Amino acid sequence: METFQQLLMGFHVAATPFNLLLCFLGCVIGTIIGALPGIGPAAGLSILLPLTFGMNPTSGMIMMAGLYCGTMYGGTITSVLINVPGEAASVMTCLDGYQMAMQGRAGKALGIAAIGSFIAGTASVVFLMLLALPMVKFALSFGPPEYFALMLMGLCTVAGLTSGSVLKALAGTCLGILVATPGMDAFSGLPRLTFGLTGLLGGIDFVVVAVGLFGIGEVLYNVEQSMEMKFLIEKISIKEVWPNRAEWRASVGPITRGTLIGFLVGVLPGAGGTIATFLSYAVEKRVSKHPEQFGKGAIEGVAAPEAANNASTGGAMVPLLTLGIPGSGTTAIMLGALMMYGLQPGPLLFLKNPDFVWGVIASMYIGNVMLVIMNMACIPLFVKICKIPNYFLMPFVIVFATVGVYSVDGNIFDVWMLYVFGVMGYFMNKFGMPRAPVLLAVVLGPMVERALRQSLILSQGSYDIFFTRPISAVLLMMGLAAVLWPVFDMIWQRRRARRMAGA
Amino acid sequence: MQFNVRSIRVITLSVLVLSVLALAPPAFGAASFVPTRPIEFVCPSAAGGGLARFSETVGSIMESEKFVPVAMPRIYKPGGGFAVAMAYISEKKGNPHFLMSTSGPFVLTPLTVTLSGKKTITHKDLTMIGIMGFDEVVMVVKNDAPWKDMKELLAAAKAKPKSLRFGGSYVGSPDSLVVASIAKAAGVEFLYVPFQGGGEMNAALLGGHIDIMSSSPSDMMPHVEAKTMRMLAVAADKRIPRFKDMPTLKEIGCDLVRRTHRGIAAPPGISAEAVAYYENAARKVTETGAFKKYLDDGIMTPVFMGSTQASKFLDEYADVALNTMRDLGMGKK
Repeated sequence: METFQQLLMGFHVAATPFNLLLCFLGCVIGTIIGALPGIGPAAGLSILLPLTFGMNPTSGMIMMAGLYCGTMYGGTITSVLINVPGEAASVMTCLDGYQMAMQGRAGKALGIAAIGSFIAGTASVVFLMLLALPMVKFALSFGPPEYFALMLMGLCTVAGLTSGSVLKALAGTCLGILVATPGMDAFSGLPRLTFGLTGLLGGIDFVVVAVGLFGIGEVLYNVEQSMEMKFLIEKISIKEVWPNRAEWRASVGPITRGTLIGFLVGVLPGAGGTIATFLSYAVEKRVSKHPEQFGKGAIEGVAAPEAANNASTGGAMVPLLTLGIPGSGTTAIMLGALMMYGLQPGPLLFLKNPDFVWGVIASMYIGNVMLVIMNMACIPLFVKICKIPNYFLMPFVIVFATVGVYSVDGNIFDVWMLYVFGVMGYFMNKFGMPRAPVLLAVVLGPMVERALRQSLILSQGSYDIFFTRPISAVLLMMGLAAVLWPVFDMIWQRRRARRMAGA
Repeated sequence: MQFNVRSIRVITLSVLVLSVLALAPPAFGAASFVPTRPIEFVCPSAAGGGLARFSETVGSIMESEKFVPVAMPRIYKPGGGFAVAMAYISEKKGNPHFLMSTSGPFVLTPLTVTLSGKKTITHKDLTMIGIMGFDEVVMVVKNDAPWKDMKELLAAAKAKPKSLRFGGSYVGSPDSLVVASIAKAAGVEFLYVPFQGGGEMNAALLGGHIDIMSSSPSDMMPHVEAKTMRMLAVAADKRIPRFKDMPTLKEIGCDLVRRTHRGIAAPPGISAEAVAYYENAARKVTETGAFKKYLDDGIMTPVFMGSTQASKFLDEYADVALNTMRDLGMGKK
């Protein structure tokens, strides 16, 4: 009951006209930033940060929370319409979202994404409110061995995600790990595989790989195809954006599971939304009655990762607000902002500045309401992008991709890397190599490496540490199952085929 | 007579002119450099961190107090333990419209990192403008840790080598050198576990996955207040006023002082006038209430060192660090 009262107080703080306006502005800017390929929430926040310094901490944070939620919605738009993930967490949305767009169901894809995001975002705020303190204990029980097991399980499920050949997916995963290797070694501080290039010292940014492989790669691929319209034109009204009864029934499960997975994984510092999105996708593919439709425009394949993605924002706020520990790059910037406002993020923030904490929580809730209304209303407008002929749209994609990538670190080297990955994306497309595993491995590779090396230092070289700890042992078993499943599946199907041929 | 008077006038005048000419150049010269276009203020680490806060504070004070007549946008060029930003600034040779903020890795990274086929850019290659504050290093344990103080902890570490897990940043980072120095001074061996970023490490300490870590007092403040963590010792030359009960390492028999500086550097080869100009601006920043509040909030030690003094300080720091690194079996010969 006390929590409820505090939430009411939070709404009281958040619902002043000025704060509502800031929240709205944050949502609008966030949607635009999320929709521009290459500029994600972290870059968006850094741009916004100086603007908020004149405000009081609560107002500033409300605007940033709005922007954070907005980018999550915005990232979906480009993923679905032009197959360019705006940030790591929307890679999985591309797989089925873009296919749906090609089949003329872009409105439906964006609709279910917005609704799923709303439900998940709202639920995660409720979870944050009710479960923040017990969840912290769960998050802290994760040491390096547990992280290693979780990330490894993530890498193992990657192969099962895509619809094509498992071997090609595994090859893609290895390629991704390779791409993530150059840069400064996180343990010795020494450069690794940099070939004397200053540009490689900071490593290859995820955004460069994502926008290159998907965005530029897609443009190059399309040049070969007919320059005529490739999308089926759909007539769109708001009514058609709203899912029908069958689509509802298909999406309720994925959204619920996506929300739970997203919140749980979002709570773990460092794991963040990306792992949540593809774990939830993998789960849906496994429980689905028609897994063969995944990757070919299954609505569940959009609903689940979008829900997980948005639920992780609430999860990521748990360690930030209760411990002062940022769960992701984006929340790290928010943490920096808190300190610049003169607030001490830490265990006492809830006690010392309750109006601030609950104001921000309430504004996340309000932001989600604003975003779903805004998005549902604008989807017919967004979908018009599909009607732009390719010979106009494709050059724009290249321009936005180039500008977006340059803006990440202001480094021209990144732009050249972007084009290299673009050419690579083109060939991967031609050879039927799935591109999502590469991206996921780029995100996970460094985390796996770090957790593995930390664990082995802690255990002084013994691998027992992974099996003697219950959480990591269970996670590793699940990872093993994920690897073996497709193999058994293949053997079983071959045997059945042989039996059929024999009979 | 008239001629004489005239000649006296001419002489007086020419003496005057000459003296003006003789005196004026330095006087004019000091004022002769004024930035004419926006100054790119490069932050070598990611947004949200400690050095980013320093950059934002200094940049906004310079702009709002009009210490510089132009804008001073903060540009983030993280990566490579400052190497990316240092390479960028060194390429702007002689251009006084670029500045970067500096801290420990500014000196330490070039001691270990070489890029094949390239000359390593060290702190000596760039122009130091000034040092504006010190961030102290404290040793922290979980609140319910079994050791009452640093002495007890070191005794436990000595009794059982490699039993205590010490969290820090990558090997070769400022805090790793502090740990190595403590271990050497106290004759103990720790299990050093590198983490990426303070957040991950704080969580590991609270979760009991490591036993002790080094951090800055400001990051620890909320945890100390909430009684989730305890600070055991500080590597400063005297106790921090706000934490009078916490001893220095010196007091418990480890004779070492290690701190991270916060400063500003410029590209190589900029004019002496430009150095003087920025030195003066930086000094004025340290005198503002806003900057004093920033130092106080961050529990940092106020200091101001101009260009020459700051360079000398960094050279000495580099020598000490190199010795520690050689003990660790790393660092260039």
